[in-house]
Amino acid sequence: MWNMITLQTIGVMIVCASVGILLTRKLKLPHIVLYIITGLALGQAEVALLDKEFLKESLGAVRVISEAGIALLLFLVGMELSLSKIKDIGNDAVVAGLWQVGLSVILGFGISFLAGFEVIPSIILSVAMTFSSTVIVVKLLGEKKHLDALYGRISIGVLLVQDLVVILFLTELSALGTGADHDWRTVLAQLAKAMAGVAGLAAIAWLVAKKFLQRLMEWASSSTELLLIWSLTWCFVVVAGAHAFHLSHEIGAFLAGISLAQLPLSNSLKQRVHPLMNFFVGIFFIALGMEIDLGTALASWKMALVFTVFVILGKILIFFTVFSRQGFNERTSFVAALTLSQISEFSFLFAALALKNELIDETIVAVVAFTGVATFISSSFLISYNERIYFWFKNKGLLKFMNASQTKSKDEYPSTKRSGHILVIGMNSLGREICRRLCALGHNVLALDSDPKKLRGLPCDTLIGSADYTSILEEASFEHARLVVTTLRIEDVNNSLVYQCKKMGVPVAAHGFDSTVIPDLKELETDYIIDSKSSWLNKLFIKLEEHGVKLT
Amino acid sequence: MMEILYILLAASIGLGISKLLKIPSVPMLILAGGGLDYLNAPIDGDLARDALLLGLIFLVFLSGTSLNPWRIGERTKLAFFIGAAQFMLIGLISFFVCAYMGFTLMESFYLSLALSSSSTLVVIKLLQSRGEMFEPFGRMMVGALLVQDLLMMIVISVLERFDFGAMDMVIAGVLVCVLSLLALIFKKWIIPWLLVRDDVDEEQQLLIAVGILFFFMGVSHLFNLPFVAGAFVAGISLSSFPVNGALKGQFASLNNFFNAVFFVTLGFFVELPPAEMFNSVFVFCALIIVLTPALTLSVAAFADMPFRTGIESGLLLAQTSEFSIVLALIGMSNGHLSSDHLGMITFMTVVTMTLTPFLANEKVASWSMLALAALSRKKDGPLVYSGHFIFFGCGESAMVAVEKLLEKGEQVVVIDDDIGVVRGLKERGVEAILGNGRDTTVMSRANLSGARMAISSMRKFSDNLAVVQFAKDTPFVVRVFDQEEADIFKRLGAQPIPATDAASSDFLEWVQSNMKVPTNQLDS
Repeated sequence: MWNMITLQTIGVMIVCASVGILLTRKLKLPHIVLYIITGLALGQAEVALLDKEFLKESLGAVRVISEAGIALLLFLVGMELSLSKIKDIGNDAVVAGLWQVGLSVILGFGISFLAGFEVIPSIILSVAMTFSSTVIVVKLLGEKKHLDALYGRISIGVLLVQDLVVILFLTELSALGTGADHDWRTVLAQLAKAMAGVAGLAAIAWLVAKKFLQRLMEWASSSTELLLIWSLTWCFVVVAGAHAFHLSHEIGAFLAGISLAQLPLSNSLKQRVHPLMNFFVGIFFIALGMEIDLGTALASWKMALVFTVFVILGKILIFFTVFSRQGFNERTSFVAALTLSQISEFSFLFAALALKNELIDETIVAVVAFTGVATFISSSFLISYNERIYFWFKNKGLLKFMNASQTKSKDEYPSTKRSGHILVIGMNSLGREICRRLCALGHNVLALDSDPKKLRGLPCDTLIGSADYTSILEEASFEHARLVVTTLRIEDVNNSLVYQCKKMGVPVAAHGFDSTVIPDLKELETDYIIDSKSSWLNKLFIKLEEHGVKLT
Repeated sequence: MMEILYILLAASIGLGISKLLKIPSVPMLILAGGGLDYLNAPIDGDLARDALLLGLIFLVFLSGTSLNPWRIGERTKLAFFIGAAQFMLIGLISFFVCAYMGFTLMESFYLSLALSSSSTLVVIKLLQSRGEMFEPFGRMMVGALLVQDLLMMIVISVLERFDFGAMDMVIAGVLVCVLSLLALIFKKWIIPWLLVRDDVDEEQQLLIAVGILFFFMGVSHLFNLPFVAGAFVAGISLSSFPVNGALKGQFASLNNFFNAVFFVTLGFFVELPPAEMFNSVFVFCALIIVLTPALTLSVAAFADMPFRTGIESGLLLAQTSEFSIVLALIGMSNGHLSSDHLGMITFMTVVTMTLTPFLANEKVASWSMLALAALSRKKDGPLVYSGHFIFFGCGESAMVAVEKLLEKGEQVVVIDDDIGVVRGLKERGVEAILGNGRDTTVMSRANLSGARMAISSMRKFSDNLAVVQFAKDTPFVVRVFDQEEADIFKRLGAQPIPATDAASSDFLEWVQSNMKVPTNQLDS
């Protein structure tokens, strides 16, 4: 009844990646690098559970998981960036994206042609080297929590423009294969269709989210299960819409995310989707590594190395120049340029399609594969350490030639975190009462609850989200709080919060809602236990005393 | 990717209906999956089978992670007693019923096992929604479910080796114990070292945790045990504090997603049982709904538990489990059961789970309590107290006050609807009346009008309202949970003590003595 092949494949992938994480944690390798290396190793090794036939059979499920992971990744990016943030950099992103595509294609074509490739293979190679990877960039920026930074927004803007342009190239390539008509009118028509598709889909998604989803999601907010499944469904509905408009899944998922970003619950949704995305995208990268035939790729390593250097240095130079000329300051321009210095996952698809259409041979596919892996890995380091690299270049005076602006822009990096506040978690009647009284005393209070209805009418700052997720606690800046108070009636969440606060050295008060939970809170050295039953009893004793019975 | 969309769409509809009608999500998800099949949704069979398998593994794994023996607290023995007694007694009775109804020996084995355990998913969700998860009653229920799930896993592992003879079954049993031991070693020493450290971030924690799942599945494969046994013990190995706290949120997302995937794809594959099996389905459903509460109440009486606990436990446990479906799937893959049996067990699960919230509610429990109280009340004689204190409800806090008043030589009468509580109080020499506090005959018997003071810790607003209207000149102190209730009682002449107000006052006192408002915040 069961086909265990998929399970075995995923199992081996995950176990090997876990071992990799454990062995290399001191090196602090970016996750993507580790996943790709795990995949490459598994792809080459003769693992008993993983022969090639095995892989072919399981590819269907693994591919679906991978595609879902990428969709979720872009869905999260959409939720991270509201429409206003996108509008701010929209024009710049379009101009920079188009300039870069043009310059990269010309330069790439020149290098390929000089290296001895014929015209068509040179075009294919240059186009494959032109686009940058949305998945890599978004994943790494997300890990750095820099999606919201100015350089992050510019990079994502450019990637979205590239995602639109890539559709044209892919359509043209398919047309070349089928021998269909592909004159300039067709190209323009395709472009107009793609643009209209994006605009139409964005408008529909935005309207539906505004008119219907807001109420529905609020109604669903008390059920975590419902909230997660509905938001995922929305993501895949818009992805299906994008498919119908001949747009990429990534654009669909991004638009779904953007449309939900306007809802007050978007923060809570992000936390819930994140673990799924991490799991699925991990499988995507491992599978990507496994699918690359390292042997063939290494056979043409010299040529591949030339293109790797071209992609890294060429793109940094092109983007740095374009961004600087657009008026972005030196730091933002250089860091954004570093961010985009890799090829795209589309490049693999593009090369594969060209091979299928007999426009290129295996050598070019191998060059693309090698360049892809090399630039993915190099990008992981360039993005992870982008600030250090920038300051190294700056201190050596290597960026002066661009004469870029040195003025700091106010939204260069996300706003600094709050500190010195009292974080109150759980807006039941006790939590709300505590918030009101703390505010009345003049304390800076942040109230956290997963139900937006419970946060209404409070005289303090509020944050929607579940304390189950470390990321929401980080967003609430719990490590910089003066005091964390949990009034939840959930024992393990309270214990976990106390444990984390004690680890961070933050004073913590927790609700001892029943005598059975108090011993553990004491053992965890909770600074104050809100013993509601004892408090009630004390008040009762006072009442009894008023009636002439002294019990204390 | 369209497959994912169809599954998610079905799950969305199922979960939406479940929330709207306030019934458990599992039956609705299965029905939504059935809807996909009915509408001939173009879902690739292999992909759906992979989704079912992945969903099944994560369901079992994540059930394990939520079953932490540490949660049971002091009621371990009682939990074990209830869990094991229900599993064995219902199992035994069902086995004979199945055999009587003409099922084969092997089918009877599987069917009786499927009937003998209750749903962790449904019970935990109901306990959470009532805020009882971490109350002593909730802890005991979680313990009982843990026992049942563990027994189920052992039996599944042993049954898989049924065709290979008794010796193989014994070996399988021993190997399950070895696997569990390995999980305990991981839980105690290895997993905290792997996961609770500063150099491992959230993403890595999740991947390592899933890596541990597949590691244990690999070990169970080496031991020739079913993969679900590995998944379950892997979950238990990750259930201890603080590992479970660190992973709780991440597991919650996986849990929600994979549960939806599993039950929808199950609904997509499973067929309705044939018409001739519906008689059996009806008998089995009745067996669970009638027998489980009756047996649990008997066990409760035997174990000297409060009657309310016994009744509520029985009503809460009166459904088959998601593990019953897992058992049926394993039985099918072993060739011991047919798809008709899977359909039958799934159908029973849908019916009994759907009925659970209607049965396991306060009204049914109170009605049962009152029926029991009516039987016992005849034996009590009239009370002739005056100047006494009357307690409506006698929980943990009220008991402290009762004892202090008795120490001071005051006369105290307690009114409680739990025969177990009343019996316990009487044994300690406290005057107690069995009955509902809102019942005027009960209040008259306690001579409310002649009492010095009445104190209520009853949870229900309407019950307290009935008392305040009857109390008239007797001072009535009532515990309330919000200001609105406090205002109403104050207007009616009672003396409300808002529990949150008392707790927040004490807390604020501590804050003020330990934390001054920073000057910059005062300025702002």
